[in-house]
Amino acid sequence: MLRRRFAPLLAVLLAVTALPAAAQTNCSQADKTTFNAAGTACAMSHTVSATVPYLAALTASTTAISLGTVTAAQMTAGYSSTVAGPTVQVAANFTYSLAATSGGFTSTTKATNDLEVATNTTGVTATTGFSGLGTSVSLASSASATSASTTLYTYFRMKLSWASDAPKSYSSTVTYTLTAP
Amino acid sequence: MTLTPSRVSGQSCSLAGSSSCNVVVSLSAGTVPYAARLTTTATTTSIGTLSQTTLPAGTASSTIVTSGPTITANANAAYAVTIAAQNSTWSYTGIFTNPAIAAGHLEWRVGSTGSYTAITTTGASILSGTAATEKSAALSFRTTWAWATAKPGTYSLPLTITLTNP
Repeated sequence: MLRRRFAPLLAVLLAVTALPAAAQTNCSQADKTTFNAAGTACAMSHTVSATVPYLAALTASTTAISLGTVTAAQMTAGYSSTVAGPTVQVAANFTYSLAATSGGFTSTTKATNDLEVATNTTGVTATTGFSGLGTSVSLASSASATSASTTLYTYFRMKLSWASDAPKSYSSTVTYTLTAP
Repeated sequence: MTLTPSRVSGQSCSLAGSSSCNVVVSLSAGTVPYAARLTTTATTTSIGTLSQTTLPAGTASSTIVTSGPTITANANAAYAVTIAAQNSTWSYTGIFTNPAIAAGHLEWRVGSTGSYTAITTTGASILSGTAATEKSAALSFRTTWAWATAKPGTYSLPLTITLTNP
C-alpha cells in the first residue's frame, strides 16, 4: 500500500531530474571593450547532441521463387533451369557485407549444397559464378555507406542426380544476412 | 573626565558672520559597469536517436526539427545576442573514422516561422534590445543527416551564445 502510494511521487521526481538544466549568466565589466572581448564576454555554452545507431534496410523483391518441374533432360544435364531470384537492395549507414545461407532442403536428405546461387548487377541471367549454399555465400560487400545500393540480381539453380533425387517436391529457405564488418 | 568629540577630517565650520553652518559632502557613487543578464532554459538539446522513421531508406538525407532553448537577455545598455558554433565540425564518438560532419548541418531559427540559418563559427544575431528591456528568443533547431555520412556513433556540437553591447 505504502509502495503504491509513493510510486507516482517517485516517477515525478525522476521526470523532474531528467529535465535539461537551465542556466543564467550575470555579467559585469567596467568598460565596453572588456565587456565585448572574447574571453571576458557575456557568454554561455549550449550543446546539441544526437545518437546515430547502426541503420540498415534490406529489401528483396519477392519472398518465394519456384525452380519449376524438373525435366529428364535437366536430370541428364545435372542442373535444373536457372531461375531469377529476388532482386536485393541495401541501405546502410556503414560499410556492410551481404551473405546468403540455406537451412537445407526440407523432408529430404538432399545436400544443402545442391542449391546454388549466383549474382550480378546487370540483370542478365547468370550462366556462371554459381556457389553452393552448403556454406554461407558472400553476395556483396560495400566500400561505403549508402541510402540505396545498386540493385543486386540473384539467380538460383539446383544440382540434380538420377541416382539420388527421388520424385518429390523439394524446398529450401534462403536467408540473406547483412552484417557490419 | 570630559570627552571631546574629535573633528572629522575634511569638516570645518565657522559661525562667524553667519547664522548657519554648512558642510558640503561629496558622494561618489562609483562607476556603473556594463551589466547584463543572459539566461537559457537549457544548456543542452538532444536530437535523440535517429531511426529509419527519421532517416528513411532510399532517401539520401533527411532533416529533423527539434525545439531548442529559450534565450532571455537584459542589460543596462543596448545589447545584441548572437549564436555561433564553437567548432567547424560536429564532434564524433564511435568506432568509425570521424565523418567530420559540417557544423552547418545544424540550422536554427527563432520561433516557429521563417527560414532556417546554417550555423557557423561566426556569431549570428538571434535578438537585440534596448537598455533595461528584457527580450527572449525561442530557438528551433533543424539538423540534416545523410546515410553516407551519419556513421553509427554519437555526435555533439557545442554552441556559444553571446551578449554584446554593440
